[in-house]
Amino acid sequence: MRPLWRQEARLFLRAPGVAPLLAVLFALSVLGAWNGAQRLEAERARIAEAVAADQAAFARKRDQLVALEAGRAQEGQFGSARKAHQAVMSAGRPLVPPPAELGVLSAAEARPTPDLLAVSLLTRHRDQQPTLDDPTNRLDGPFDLSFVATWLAPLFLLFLTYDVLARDREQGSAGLLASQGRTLAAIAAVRLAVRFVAVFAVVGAVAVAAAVVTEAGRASLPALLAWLAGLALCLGTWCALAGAVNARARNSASASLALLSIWIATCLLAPAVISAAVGAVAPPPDRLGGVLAMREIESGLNRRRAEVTAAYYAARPQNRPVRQGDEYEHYFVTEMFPRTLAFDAAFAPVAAGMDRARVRQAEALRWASPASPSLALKLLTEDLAGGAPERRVRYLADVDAWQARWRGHFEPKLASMRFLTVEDYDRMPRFEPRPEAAAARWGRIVALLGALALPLLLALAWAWRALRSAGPL
Amino acid sequence: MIGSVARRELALQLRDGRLLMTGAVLLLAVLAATAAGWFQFDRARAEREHFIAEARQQWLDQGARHPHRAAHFGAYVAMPQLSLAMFEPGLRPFAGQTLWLEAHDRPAFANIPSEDDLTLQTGLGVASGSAILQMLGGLLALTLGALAIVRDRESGVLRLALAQGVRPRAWAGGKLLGLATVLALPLAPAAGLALAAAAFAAAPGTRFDILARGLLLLAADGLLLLALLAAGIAISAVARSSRGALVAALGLWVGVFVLAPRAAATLVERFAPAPTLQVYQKAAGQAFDEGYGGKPGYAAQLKALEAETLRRYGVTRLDDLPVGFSGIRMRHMDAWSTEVDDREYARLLGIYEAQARIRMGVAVASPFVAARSVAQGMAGMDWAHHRRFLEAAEAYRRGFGLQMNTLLERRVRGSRWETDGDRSDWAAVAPFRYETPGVGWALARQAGFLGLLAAWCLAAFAALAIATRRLRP
Repeated sequence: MRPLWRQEARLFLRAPGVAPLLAVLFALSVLGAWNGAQRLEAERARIAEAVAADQAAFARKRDQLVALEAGRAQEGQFGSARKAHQAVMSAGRPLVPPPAELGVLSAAEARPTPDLLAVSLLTRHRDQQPTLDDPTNRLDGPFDLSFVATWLAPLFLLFLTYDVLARDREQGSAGLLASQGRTLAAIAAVRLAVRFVAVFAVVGAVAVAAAVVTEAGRASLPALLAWLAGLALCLGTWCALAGAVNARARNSASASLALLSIWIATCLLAPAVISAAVGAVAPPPDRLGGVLAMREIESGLNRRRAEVTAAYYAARPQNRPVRQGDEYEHYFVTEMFPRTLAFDAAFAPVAAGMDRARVRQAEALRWASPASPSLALKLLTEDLAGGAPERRVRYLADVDAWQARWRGHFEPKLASMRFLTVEDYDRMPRFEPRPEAAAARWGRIVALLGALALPLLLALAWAWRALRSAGPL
Repeated sequence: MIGSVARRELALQLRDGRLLMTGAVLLLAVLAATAAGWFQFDRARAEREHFIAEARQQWLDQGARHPHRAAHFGAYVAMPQLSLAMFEPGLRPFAGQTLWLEAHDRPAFANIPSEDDLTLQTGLGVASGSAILQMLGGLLALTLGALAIVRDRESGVLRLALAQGVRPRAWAGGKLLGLATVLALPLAPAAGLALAAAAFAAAPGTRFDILARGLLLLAADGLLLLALLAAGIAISAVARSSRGALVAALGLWVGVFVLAPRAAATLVERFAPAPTLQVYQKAAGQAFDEGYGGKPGYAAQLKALEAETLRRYGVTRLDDLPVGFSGIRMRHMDAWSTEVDDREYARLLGIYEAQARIRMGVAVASPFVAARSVAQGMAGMDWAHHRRFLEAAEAYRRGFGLQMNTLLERRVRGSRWETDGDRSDWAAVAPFRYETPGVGWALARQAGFLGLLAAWCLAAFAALAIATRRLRP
């Protein structure tokens, strides 16, 4: 077999158009990786800037308090470092989720897990972050490695494999080929394998290089291997389909049209049908309903504001204000803060319901993904790049737990209007997010690899059956 | 002669069962997508109307509260959609659904469906009638055109025809006419039915506008398909084999429909990125605090305002004022922030224009980018329509902000801040009303892209004429 392998590899690489085609694929892969790296770099810079600004702001407040206590400074009407409603109440601390292992693979704008949340003593339940961006830029999705692997690599493979046997039939050389001691099936298999290796090597090598360069210390080998396995399964499916089509096709034009029809069916039509079906079975979270619920709760609490304040201090008599404060402080501390707590308690089930809807939709998509290898590979890629809704749920649970500790730390001083001390600043709770449980995460990844393996097995069975009876005419 | 060749081509194509099958699939796909679009449009309209009514009711029922806090509670508005959105949803999945109009800040679109809906995040699949018509219709046009002449050459028919005195231009012209008819057979009824559905679902009084917009949309799609058909036949005229012609046509399709739109987004991101909302607000905040162009920052303006107000009312302390200084201060603050914001927004508009120029540049290489832009514009789902809505909402926000500040000015005295407005005050704020602009407005914004499409068509015809002149059997 080895001489045939070598011979076919040599013929393939010397064939006109192959080297330029592979060079274009390489250039597009590099462009995709570069875009992913740019997004990652921008995200990291934004996080670093937010974290540095937050640390500097708290350090400044602490220094101000030290100077105030030492009698070296005087307190103004605003910006006090010892009045909790001014110093910490609305100071949003930047909370960053654990980094994704292969973030460089995707430059998607819409990501279920926020890269950064600024969380304060007030509610974190706000509208989605508004955007000024022209949505036309998001219409087609980003040009990233995820796009290269799911859209372009199968198309390039289609260009390289549509005539592995059909061309010989067309030129009348298939009979000669079949008389050389190798079956047409074996020759087709070797030709397909050579093309598979070429495309896989180009896209895979760029992805590995991008991960190594941008994810130093973060990228895990298992995650990278899982993605490469997914890529191999997806490309393998296309090779098997090309083999099956070539076994029957009389000419390369028919073969190319047949393969293109399969590509359209699996990459363009099947995902649309799957999306419609998933949307019916597991609809996305009702965002407008969420906004209305948010405002309904807020209005209701405003109408009962005196009652809410009374209930808060009745439940926590130790937090009763020790001084009057001005009208601003009185409002923020005795009205707004108790209302915030009541709002969060009332809105939590709505928010949890929305997150459950996200997870349900992701699960339904994974179940349906064997119908489209490109969709399955896309889901796998986005999962490894940190785009799974389950990661969001884990992160937000950590955020909620941290916010409870943060409120627990400052609430007694804030609600009672007692002054903050340096110790309050020194003993502030830290945010330490936990990564997702490995079993749950790898369960998803293995399921997606299974979703990629299933169409490969079916395509292989079809190709094996078709190639076994493939003749020179 | 052209008519005879066209009739022959039509007869040959209609005898080909594969083409009938492809046409039927395309017809069904466009109709199914439009039907699904109708369902979605209808549901979205009901949801939006419910949301607007509920949001207004919540504004009225918010209870007694401070006018400025009521301005922060704000109003929610949602953009109306034309019924053509069922055929061309345009930016709907990627543009925010709502605007929150609150004190101080210019609104930005939030609650983007694609951020909640995973099926939209995958970026795979073509789900709208317009996209199917453009992408799959374009593929059909290119492949039909690419095989049109080269197959006659391979079978010897071309040699025979030319030997009998048929002029090459007449042969190619007949092919073009015949294949255009073939393309129109499934696509014209599909487009006609989609247009009829949109007209049927149009809001009262807008039917003529919808029909005019729909016809322009279909004219743009027609130009796209005609240009691609002519380009395909030109490829066919110069190709040596049907294999080569098909590969070239498919390569063109991938470049025009898959790569170019993403390339446009990448170029926009690289050369004319819009600022994030945080960056925009930071720049506006800095100008607000520090002033610009010889105008002092807010703190200095406030001091001058205090002095001027005291002088005007002939008192020496703010507490002695017969009007509420808080309201005067808020009104001045909003006027200054409006001035600052207008300056920043003018810069943002400059960035949007630069982005549009880049997209126009890409449309020179990809008629799909131009056709899609025209289709979105005619359906009222492009960024220009969204921005017009945004600007109308901003004018409304400024108006009701002023109403709240005036209320504050009248209700309190001196430097007091606390006072409450009630339901009658909230009812005095008129609900937001918005009318979608007419077809003339939309056409003016898409004239450049429409011109480009026409130029593409002319260029493809010119290429066909040149290729035909060199036609060899």
